[in-house]
Amino acid sequence: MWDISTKELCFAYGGKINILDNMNVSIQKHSFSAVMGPNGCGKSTFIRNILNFYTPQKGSIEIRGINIKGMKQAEMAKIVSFIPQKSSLSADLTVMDLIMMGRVVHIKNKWVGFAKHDKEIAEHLIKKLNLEKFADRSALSLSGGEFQRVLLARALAQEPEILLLDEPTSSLDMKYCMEIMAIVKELTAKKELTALAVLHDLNMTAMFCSEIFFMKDGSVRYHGTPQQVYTREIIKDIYGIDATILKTDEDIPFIVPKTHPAISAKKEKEMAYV
Amino acid sequence: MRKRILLFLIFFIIVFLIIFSLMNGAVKTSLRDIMDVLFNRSANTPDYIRTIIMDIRLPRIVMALLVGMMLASTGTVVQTVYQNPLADPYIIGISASATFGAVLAFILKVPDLMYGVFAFVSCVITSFLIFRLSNAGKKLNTATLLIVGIAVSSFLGAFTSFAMYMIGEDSFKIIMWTMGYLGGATWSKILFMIVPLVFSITVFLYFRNDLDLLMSGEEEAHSMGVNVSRLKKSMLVITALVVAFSVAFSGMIGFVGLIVPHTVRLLFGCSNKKLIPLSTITGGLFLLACDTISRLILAPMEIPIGIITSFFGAPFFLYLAFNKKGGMNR
Ligand SMILES: Nc1ncnc2c1ncn2[C@@H]1O[C@H](COP(=O)(O)OP(=O)(O)OP(=O)(O)O)[C@@H](O)[C@H]1O
Ligand SMILES: [Mg+2]
Repeated sequence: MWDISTKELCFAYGGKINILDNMNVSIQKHSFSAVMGPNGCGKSTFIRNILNFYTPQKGSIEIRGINIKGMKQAEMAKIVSFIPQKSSLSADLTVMDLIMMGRVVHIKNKWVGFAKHDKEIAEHLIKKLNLEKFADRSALSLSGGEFQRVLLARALAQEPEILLLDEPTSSLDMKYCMEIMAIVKELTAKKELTALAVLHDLNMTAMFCSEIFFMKDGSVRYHGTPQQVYTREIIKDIYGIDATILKTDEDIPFIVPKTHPAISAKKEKEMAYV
Repeated sequence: MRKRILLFLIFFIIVFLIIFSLMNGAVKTSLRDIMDVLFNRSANTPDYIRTIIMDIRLPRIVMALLVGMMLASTGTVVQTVYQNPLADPYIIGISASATFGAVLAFILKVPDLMYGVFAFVSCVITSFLIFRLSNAGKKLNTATLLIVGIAVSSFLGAFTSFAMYMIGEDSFKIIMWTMGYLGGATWSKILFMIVPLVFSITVFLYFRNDLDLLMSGEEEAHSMGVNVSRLKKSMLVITALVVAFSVAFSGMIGFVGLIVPHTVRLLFGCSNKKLIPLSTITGGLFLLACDTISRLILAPMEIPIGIITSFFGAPFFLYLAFNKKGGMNR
């Protein structure tokens, strides 16, 4: 059984053009998969459909074999959590308050509110993600990268079984980028989480993700392991760029655009043997 | 610690205002009289003092507190629903529609108690109209908000003005509705207002955490388990109920729902768990202060309270509109 599976999914915003056009994606339990593709190809839209935030015009979405149509928000939120590409937080809450948001769906009695357990989970995540010194800061005063980590903490506070990430590392420096990818990877490896991320960095993705879905114009064009889909032809087709595919010792592909001025054809050959 | 002191200060000011307001007016009463009337029935205070305190000033004070609470708490919630700190029932035209309903009731000569019902129906209709106009209650940008507010207020206001013009001399009641007036306070009216107030505050507090999630935007709130459109709709219906009652009994009093929540956000933060109760209390304080001013500043003449709140509120509104810092951004 698939953790997420979409069949012939079609979706359009108001207008007539299908932003998602016959999307078929199946995500294995406890995998860390990536959706990639050019800007505007429909990646965020796809995630919003899986979240049940938008209803597809055609096709179906199943989570653990259950069609999400008609599933209640609270029911979904206990299984699936989400990190947005850009948060629209408008109020000046503290980082702690923001992380506690993830616990709201688990509140048993709304009169009482949060239990001690909820607070402990938030504190644990604050430690785990090195956010101690921000806990009492106002969330709106954080830098882009700091905020992104707080959003990860909030999503994990929801104790999801499936995590959807929309460009979670776009504003992180290299260290935190690796760290966040590693945290997600570790959770999937420990069989605690299934993760599906929208990512742009091909090389970072190859290091952490086991399955890649290449999207273009609203549908999946190629999918497979990084080794399978990182080929000259596919990169050319998806991004319209000539690239050289190198390999690391661990057989992880590494993509260098051909037009990169620092790399001459000759040097490129040498590098492939490094 | 600083917050504790502030909280204590708020209570202290309320108590002070109540006593001050009981003592002053066309007839001055002493602290002694007040104590006797309130706590010592056997004391031989003159009857007219007793009447002034128990039947005129005290109900008016309580009414000011209640209406202030209603306006501030609904302002807080409407701001969260539309994710805009400038949203408030008065600004977006819900108050004007309550006045419209009440005036309609007045013209149709229905019993006094039906005024609230007429105002409520009119408020609900307008609220949902605004909800639809604003793209199903999505984050409302300030321009849309103001345009909707001006349009709704002017349209319904035209009707109210027309009614006033036609009725002529007997239009004091309508003037009261458009400018706010707490002079007609009675204990039975107070009983009538306590019900929607307690009900609304209870519901608002029950949903405090869900309201917090709304501040993260619709998509994120949805992903964290909130049925966004249902929550927004129910909050707007309750807001309409409260605004309808406050307008039917005390008229249109502007800007309370704007000044108070904003100030409380700056002092105590945005978390609804604190924001809702503190806004409510501070709203009571603020309106009581304004009412005391409106009674005393040109005594023995009274100024409609809406004039006082607008006097403070309109400049504050400008400041909010042009100053992006603090509390909630847009
Ligand atoms: N609310 C909306 N209404 C109408 N069109 C939209 C809306 N949101 C997105 N679109 C359009 O749908 C297309 C896909 O958008 P989407 O955000 O899914 O792209 P994306 O693949 O996530 O791109 P990016 O890599 O830039 O984040 C784009 O052409 C975009 O302009
Ligand atoms: Mg996107």
